[in-house]
This record gives sequence, C-alpha cells and structure tokens, in this order.
Amino acid sequence: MRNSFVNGLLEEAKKDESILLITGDLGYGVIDRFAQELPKQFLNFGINEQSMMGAAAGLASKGFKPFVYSIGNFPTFRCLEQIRNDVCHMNLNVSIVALGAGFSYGTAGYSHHLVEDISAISVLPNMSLYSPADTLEVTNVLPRMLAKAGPKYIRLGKGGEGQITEKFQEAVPGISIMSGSTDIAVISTGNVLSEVVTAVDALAAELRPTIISVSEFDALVDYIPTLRYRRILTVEEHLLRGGFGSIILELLSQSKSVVYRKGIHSLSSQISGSQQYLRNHYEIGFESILNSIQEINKELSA
Amino acid sequence: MTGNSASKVLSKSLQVASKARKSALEMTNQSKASHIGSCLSVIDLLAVVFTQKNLVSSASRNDVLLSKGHAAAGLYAVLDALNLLLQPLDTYCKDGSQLYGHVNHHASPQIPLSTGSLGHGLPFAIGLAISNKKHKSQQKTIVIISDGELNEGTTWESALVAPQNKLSNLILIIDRNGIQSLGFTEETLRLNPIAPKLESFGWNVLEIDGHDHEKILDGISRESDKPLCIIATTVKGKGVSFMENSIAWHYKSPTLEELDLAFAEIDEASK
Repeated sequence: MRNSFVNGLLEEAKKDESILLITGDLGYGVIDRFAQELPKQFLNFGINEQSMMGAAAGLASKGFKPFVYSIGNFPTFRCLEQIRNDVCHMNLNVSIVALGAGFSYGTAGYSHHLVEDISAISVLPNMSLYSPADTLEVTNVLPRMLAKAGPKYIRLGKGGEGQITEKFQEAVPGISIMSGSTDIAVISTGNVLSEVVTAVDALAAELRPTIISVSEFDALVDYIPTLRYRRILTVEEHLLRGGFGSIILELLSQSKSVVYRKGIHSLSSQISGSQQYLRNHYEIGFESILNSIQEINKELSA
Repeated sequence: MTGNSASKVLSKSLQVASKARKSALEMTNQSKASHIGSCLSVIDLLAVVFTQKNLVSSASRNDVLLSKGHAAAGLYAVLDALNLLLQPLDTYCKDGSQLYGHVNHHASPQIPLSTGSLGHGLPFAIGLAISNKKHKSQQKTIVIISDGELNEGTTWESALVAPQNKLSNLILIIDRNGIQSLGFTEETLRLNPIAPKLESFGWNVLEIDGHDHEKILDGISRESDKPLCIIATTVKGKGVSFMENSIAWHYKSPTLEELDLAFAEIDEASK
C-alpha cells in the first residue's frame, strides 16, 4: 500500500514540480525511487518532525504541495501542535502521509502503534482524512487528494494488503460498497477491511451483510445519514473513543439504525505481537467480527 | 543598500518606532493586556525590518515573521504606523476583534504566520527560505524570535536544518532582552554563550544593539554565505524607564498616569 502510494505520487510529481516528498528520515526501500528520479522534489529533513511540519507549512504557503512522510506517530503526535497551528489554522496545502495504520507495526510495540490518530487529527480545522483499505483505494484516493487544496492526512498500512475491494462498487467518491442480503451493514475504514471481508465470506450468502469501506472521511457527512439499515456494525483498527465508529455514531444520532462498534476499548495492555495477533487480541479479527455479525443476525431473526 | 535609500529607511523607521511605542502602550492600557515589555523590546527591530521591506520593489521584498507572537501589539502598532494593518488598532483584544493578543495572520497580508506558541516561526521560515531558494528568488526570509524561544527544541532542530540546506537567504534575529516569562534567561535556562553555539552549527553570527536602527538595517542588508543569525541585544520595556528590565512588565498593563509618563519619555527621546 505504501509502495503504491509513493509510486503513484512519483508519477504525479513528474507532471507537477510543486509536489514535494519530505521524509523524516524514514521510508527505506519505499522512497528510494522517488528520491533518485526527482531529487529536486525530495527532501530528507532529518529526525525532527516538529521542524519538518513547520517547514512544510512554510513551503505550502509559497505554493508547494509537500507530502510529509513518516511512521504513524511521528508525523502526528510528535508534531500535533505544528499540524494544528501552522498547517490547519493557516489552512495550508500540506499532506501528511502516516505509515503503519493500526497495528501494521505490531511487533514494534506501542511507540509504533497508530491507534489514536483519527481521534486527534479528525478534530482539527480544515483537515481532510483519507484511510484506504488496499492498493485500489490508494489509487482512487491519490488524485482526489491532489485535487483538493488544504490540510490532508492519509493513514496507510504497511504493505501486502492485496486488493480487498476488487468486487466493491463505488457508492460515492471515497466510499465503496459490496451489497449483502440482510438488513445489516458493516462499515469499516482502512486495511482492517480484510478482516471484515474474511468474516463475511465465511457466512452463507443469505446471511451476508452489506460491507461499506470508507477511504475518504469528507464523504461521510452526506452519505452516512442516508443509510437505512436496521443494524450497523462499525469496525476499526483504532481506539473506539473519538474514532471512526464514533464519527459514524454521531452522524446516525437521528437515525433509527442501531449501531454497534468494534474497535479497541482501551490500550491498557503492554503486549505486542503481529498485526493478526493484536487484531485477534483486541477482538477486531475476523472471528470476532463473524461472531458479532452472527449475533446481530440472530437478534434480527428472533 | 545604497546610502541614499538607507537614510530614507532610517528617517522613516525612527518615526514608525516612536509612533508604534505609543500605540502599543495605549493598546495595552485600554485592553489591560500583557506583554508591553516584550513589545517595547522588539519594536525597533520590527520598525526597521518592515520599513525597509515596504520601501523596495515588491519582487525583492523580504518575508518577515514575528515568532514571538505575544508581542502582537508591537507588530500591529508598527504595521499600523506604516498603514499596512487591515483592522483599526483600537479593536485590539476587544470582543469579536481579529486583533487578538497573539499574532493573527488575518490582521495584514504582511503577516505570513499566526504565532503565539513559541518555537513555530523559525521552522516555518525555513520552509519559506527553501521555497525562495527553489524558485531562485532574491527574497530573504527574516524571522524574529525571542531569546526565550531558545528554550524550545524546534529552535535547535532548525538551527541544524538551516545550514544543512545552505539557507544563506535566511536571517534569524534573536530579540535578546535576557528576560523570559518568570525570570532572567540565564537563571531560568542558561543560554550563553549563544554566538559560538550557532557558529559551531554552521551559522554566521552578528551581534548588534537591537535598538540602533542603523545597525539593524546594516545587519539585514548584509550578504552572507551561510544562514545569518543577528543577536540583537535589547532592553525589555525599552524607552519607558520604569518598565525597562522589569519582569513585572511582562504582565502588567500601564495605568493612565503611567501612560502619560511613558508618552513624555518617548516624546523627549524622539526630539
């Protein structure tokens, strides 16, 4: 996913020399081609995320389109005030590229787990969030990011997600859907969608819920309140408080749909492990999602 | 800068500084706001930098940033003296005003960044300087920080970044009044010696009297082969004897009686 993003950006940057890729000394094996082919549009700032973000804002104020690339917590929490004051308040065209959505860097430990970013970033003024599930959604999202001026944040997995949304249809730009046969919709964002798809595939065709994948949060405001499913289940690889499901719940507060949310209740645990292990541990793995869907099916048929 | 245009700047900047001192005093009196000492410390620097900027053709105008956003009244007063402020000064800190107590970029197109949290101006200025370099522009970027901002990590990060990127078009001016929020800088978090620190990082350093307009203009007009830091020695509360070098005037606002005394001193000095 990160490769397809950076390679896609490289192709766009060849046509638009105002696009810059700025890294906080990360991206080994990912940013190399960009750096080699467009050295004048590449900058390794060193390990100083706060100054890097402030400088990106300065560059954007002069008409450049900087993409600031680093592993999740660093271009977010380490420099949250620079994002808030220098990028968002100034409404500047800076794109933050955060690698390692959720537990993508599971074994690296808590410092590298990106599970509170949606809560923190989504409240900032003028900010647009992007959270693609796979390389197909990355390809769709990139031109829309480039077409939109202002602060942007994209949350990417590490890689190897494959093409999960191949059979999905676009509902509106930024939201895709695979229709099911029940009165339930499972809405997720980011690459945890693979767990949702695996869970739904394990069900008989007549028991399958609709799956909705959200790659662009700006699309939520108009789309989500139109949903008429009796039951909605949100799934996110992120804390529940202030996260994706929380946003959906707010948008459905006037709706008759009953909303259930799956995500991380609290990160009190000190454990690390593979992404799959941690998804299972925090009950956002496919088995847990399958159980939840089956319970809701049972509830509706009772 | 030629002798003729320099004298043009200097005759104007002295008037601007004198007028701005009185405006800033009046603004803090009326709003009961803080930071008059910080404003009086930096007004001479702002007066020279903005007067020079607006007397040259627009293509070669410097980018100027005030990172010490708490001296907003000083900045607004200087811009107003040059007829460059969009809002009337008497709205400062009033309900619904855009002229709030820390620098707001909506107050004038001459303000590239809203500030107020310390340590933000220099990184942003680096972005501007990199941009000017990429565009092969002759514009310089001048960023004025307080000495208190040398407590911030971003200042030292950026002190590394600027020479690495060969930003000889960047001028960092340190308003070195020696006082930060609760005490003297050297007692709070020792900064001295500043010049060798920055020189060892790859900067050229110039030390000047930060109230001497000729020295300020000379400093910002210099060509430098490296990022240039001007350590401008200043006096917090400069121009009003009872405010000078006083920590209390980081917070207090003058009464009407104090305002009269201050105006008399400023008028006397500008004779």
